[in-house]
Amino acid sequence: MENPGKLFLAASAIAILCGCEKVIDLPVADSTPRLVVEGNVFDGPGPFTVHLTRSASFYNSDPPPSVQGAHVRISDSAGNSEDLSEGANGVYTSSSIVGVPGRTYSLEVESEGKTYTASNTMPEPDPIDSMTYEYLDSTDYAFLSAQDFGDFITMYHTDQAGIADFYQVRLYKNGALDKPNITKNTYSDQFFDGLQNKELLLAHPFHAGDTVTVELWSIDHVAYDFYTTLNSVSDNNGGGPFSGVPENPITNISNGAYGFFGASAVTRSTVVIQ
Amino acid sequence: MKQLLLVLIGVFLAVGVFAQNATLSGNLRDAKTGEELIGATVRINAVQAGVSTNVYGFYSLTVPKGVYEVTYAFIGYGPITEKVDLNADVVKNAELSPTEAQLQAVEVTGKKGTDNIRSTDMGLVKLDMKDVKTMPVLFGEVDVMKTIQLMPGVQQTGDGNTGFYVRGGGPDQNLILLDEAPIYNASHLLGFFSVFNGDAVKSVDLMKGAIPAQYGGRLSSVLDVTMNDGNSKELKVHGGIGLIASRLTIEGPIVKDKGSFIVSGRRTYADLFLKLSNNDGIRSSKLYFYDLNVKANYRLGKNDRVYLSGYLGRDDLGYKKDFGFDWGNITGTLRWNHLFNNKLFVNTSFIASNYDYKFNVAFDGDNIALSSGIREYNLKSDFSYYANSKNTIRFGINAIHHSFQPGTFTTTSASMNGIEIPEKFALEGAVYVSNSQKASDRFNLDYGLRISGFNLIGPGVANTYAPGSDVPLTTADYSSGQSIKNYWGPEPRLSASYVLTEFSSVKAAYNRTRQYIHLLSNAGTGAPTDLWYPSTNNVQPLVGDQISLGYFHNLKDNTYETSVEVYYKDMQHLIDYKNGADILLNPNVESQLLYGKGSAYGVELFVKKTKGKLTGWIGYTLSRSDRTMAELNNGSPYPNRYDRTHDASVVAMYQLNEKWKLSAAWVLATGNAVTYPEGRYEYAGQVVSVYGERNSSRMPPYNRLDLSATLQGRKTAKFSSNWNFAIYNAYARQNPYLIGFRQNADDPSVTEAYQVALFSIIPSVTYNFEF
Repeated sequence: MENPGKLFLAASAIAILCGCEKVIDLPVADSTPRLVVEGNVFDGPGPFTVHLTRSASFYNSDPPPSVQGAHVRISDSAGNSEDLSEGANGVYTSSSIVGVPGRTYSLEVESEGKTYTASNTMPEPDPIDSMTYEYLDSTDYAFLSAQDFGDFITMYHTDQAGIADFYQVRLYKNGALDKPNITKNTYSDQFFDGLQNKELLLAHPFHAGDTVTVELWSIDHVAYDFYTTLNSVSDNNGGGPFSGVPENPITNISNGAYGFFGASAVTRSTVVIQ
Repeated sequence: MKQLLLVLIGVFLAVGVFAQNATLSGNLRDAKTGEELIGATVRINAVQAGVSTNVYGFYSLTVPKGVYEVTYAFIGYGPITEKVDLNADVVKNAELSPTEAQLQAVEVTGKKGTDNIRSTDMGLVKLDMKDVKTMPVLFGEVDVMKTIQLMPGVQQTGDGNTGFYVRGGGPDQNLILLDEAPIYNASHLLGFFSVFNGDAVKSVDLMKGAIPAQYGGRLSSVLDVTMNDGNSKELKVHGGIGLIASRLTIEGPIVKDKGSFIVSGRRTYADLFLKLSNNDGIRSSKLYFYDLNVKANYRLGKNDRVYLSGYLGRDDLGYKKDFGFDWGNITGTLRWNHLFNNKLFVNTSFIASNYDYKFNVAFDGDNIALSSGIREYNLKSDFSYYANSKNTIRFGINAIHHSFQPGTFTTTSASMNGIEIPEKFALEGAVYVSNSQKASDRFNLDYGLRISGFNLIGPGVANTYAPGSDVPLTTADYSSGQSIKNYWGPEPRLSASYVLTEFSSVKAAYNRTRQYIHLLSNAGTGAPTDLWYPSTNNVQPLVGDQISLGYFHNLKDNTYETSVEVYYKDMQHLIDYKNGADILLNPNVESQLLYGKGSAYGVELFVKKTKGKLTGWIGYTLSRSDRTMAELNNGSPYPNRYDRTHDASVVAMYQLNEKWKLSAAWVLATGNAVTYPEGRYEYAGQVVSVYGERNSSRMPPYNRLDLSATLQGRKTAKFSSNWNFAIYNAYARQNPYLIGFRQNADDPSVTEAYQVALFSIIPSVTYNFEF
């Protein structure tokens, strides 16, 4: 659920403000580049990838510089481990390590004389019970603008009672990942512990003929903290009286690197919009 | 406690020794309306004795027996001088006549010019409601809070916002009182308007430096707003029609000169314009607020008077059936003034105050609702003992019952659980004694001690948390009424003035203040969803210490009042938030908080012209305010968001002729301290910003000019009216309300900075009438 405060502000802002908005030329400081890790282990045989890049200056528009020649190793709490093989553009790939819910996975990266480590525990997967879709427009939800009218997916899944569970939903349209909203659908079971959750996925409208695949990731508390803090800075509006002070997302990677190494259990369901 | 009693007894004994004295006492009122005058002065120059009326218009002055010329005076009123035979005690009620606006400009105002020099008041801002009503303001809505923001040491929180920061303290550190009732959220509509309806307000005092011992509960300042008592002479109706709101006030005697009432209402009608829209959604939106102020008083006899006052205000936002959000304050104050004798005055008040919000969303066929609030019941007695012409002793006692409803979530959906964060209860109490003493002709002192305490009581739980964990380490259950956690401490208050010449003085003050309740908000300020929260086993009370020094100098026969004040403030146990803190509906909200300290220091220059056709002031503040939290910014101090290096304001009012009065206000301030990105990377295909040191960058400087003109309409004995024309932001400066960063819509690889300004130039017109 969205923060009611934010909803309120959005509604009021629309109602009364002039919203004189313009792009400005604003010089900012330049921080030292650091390693960025994006790595995931899923339940199943893999292969899994770890992508290493570097942060760059704020206004640069080049693709992120990739990090080559690193030594990347994944191990698990059952005593297995594997050195990943380097491919193009800083992508390192596994071949033997297997994702098993309940195990803790550890990452070790050695790059340019520095060692970075991270670990994350894979929760149990949560099956998607069913999916439906429904055409929605601004008569249903006032905030939908014309280009967003369309069919929206509702997904049902049943939460395990008594423990804190965390989820992320990713949407694929005809096999392509819905990138701009990739981490937005991150939520906890705060409001539905032990119930069948009905999740209306308003992030993306679909249309007749679209094949839609929904992935339900079971993530742990550490991953939830990372994704929610990542989302709060990617929506950051930089210094409005109603925003908090922006901070770098909470990472599980040591030694000052950015990014996240996660172990998630994923279930999928596909529907074709008629 | 024992020492306090001893001091009290000692003071009474000492006072009893002076025998050859007589006491002059009574009330001062407005001759036209019968309103009691607050802070009017009574002086007997022959013996260099003087006193101000209290908030109920009462005064008492004890001097050696004799026959004296007594002068009664008040700013904006013609002074009167009378011969009084004080060979015995005399009760004398006096009525002062207000000077007409056009005369006021040229005539010497009633205020004795050297009051500001002699008094021990420091960092005190008194607003003249006549000035407030002619000042240019946003949408023409008269607003005391926005006038307060034009004073040195007081900073606004955002463009058009009524929230304010005093000398580096947070917005929850201001005790905002309306007829003694605390207002927990003093803003309407995102903070663009305050809850104070100008027509219902009699006086406004902001104490930012020396805070007298009778006030407590907040760290940084006291904004003491008093409602009008109502005309006790005749029935009057006045009101105003503005661009976004209209006001209507009815006041009159209950029994002439014995009691009076006032009812004042205000409502916005932005929502009526929404009805004109051809968009169905906008047409069915709600967007309004209203205020209702009610007050009545009645004299029960020579020595007793009762007052009942209340405030009800509510904001209501809604969009079709999809969304509804309403919030507001309700307060009530029942007061009883009693005069034991001509020297001992007591007021006992019972006060209730409630703030709550409700939020409803219809979503996916179900309704969800969220509500939260805070309530207090407050009983207090304040005694003033006008011992003699050298000492005025004040003492009192105060007990508060607080209840906090941190949040309740309800839903009609079968796929959601309701959540109720249990209500918390606490008791707060204080005793105080203080003395205003004229130690010599030149040396005035005000010293006092307040002892306050706080007790969090059951039913409830007390959790402990391991560092970094947001699940309880231990949990202890407490039954109803059982003590969970206690805090208490002394709060010394001291201020002094030393008169150098007839027109100049130096002053010094030291205060300790304690605050037991906290406003949690990851936002900077003033969202209706901010959460009031008690001190607990984890959350410690705030403790503040402030020292200030000042030099006051009046020029040209008191035409100009000037002052320089420097201050240093130290604040302990301030609250900040962990990265990603979750405050809403979180039973473990205490695990989301960080604790640290803050300091603030600065110099404030103030020049005020009080007489002549041109009046107004220039204020300038040079200041710094920072915070230090072990877990933030690597433990190094960082600037507070509202740290303003420079803050200047110029206010001018010019009486052009009998018909026209012109006003202008100009402000210039350093931009807010903000955190800008210093780099970027990609994660999961999203561009993510890298942030560096906290609040190390600055928004562009803020500046704005507002203009207004008031035209006095035809005026008869029965009817008068005026038009107020105002232009907010006259040179259409686009002050950034926020600066954000985003990926360019056409080329997502490009990151751009953008700014949003709220207001361009906004003209407004208001018509006011009275009959």
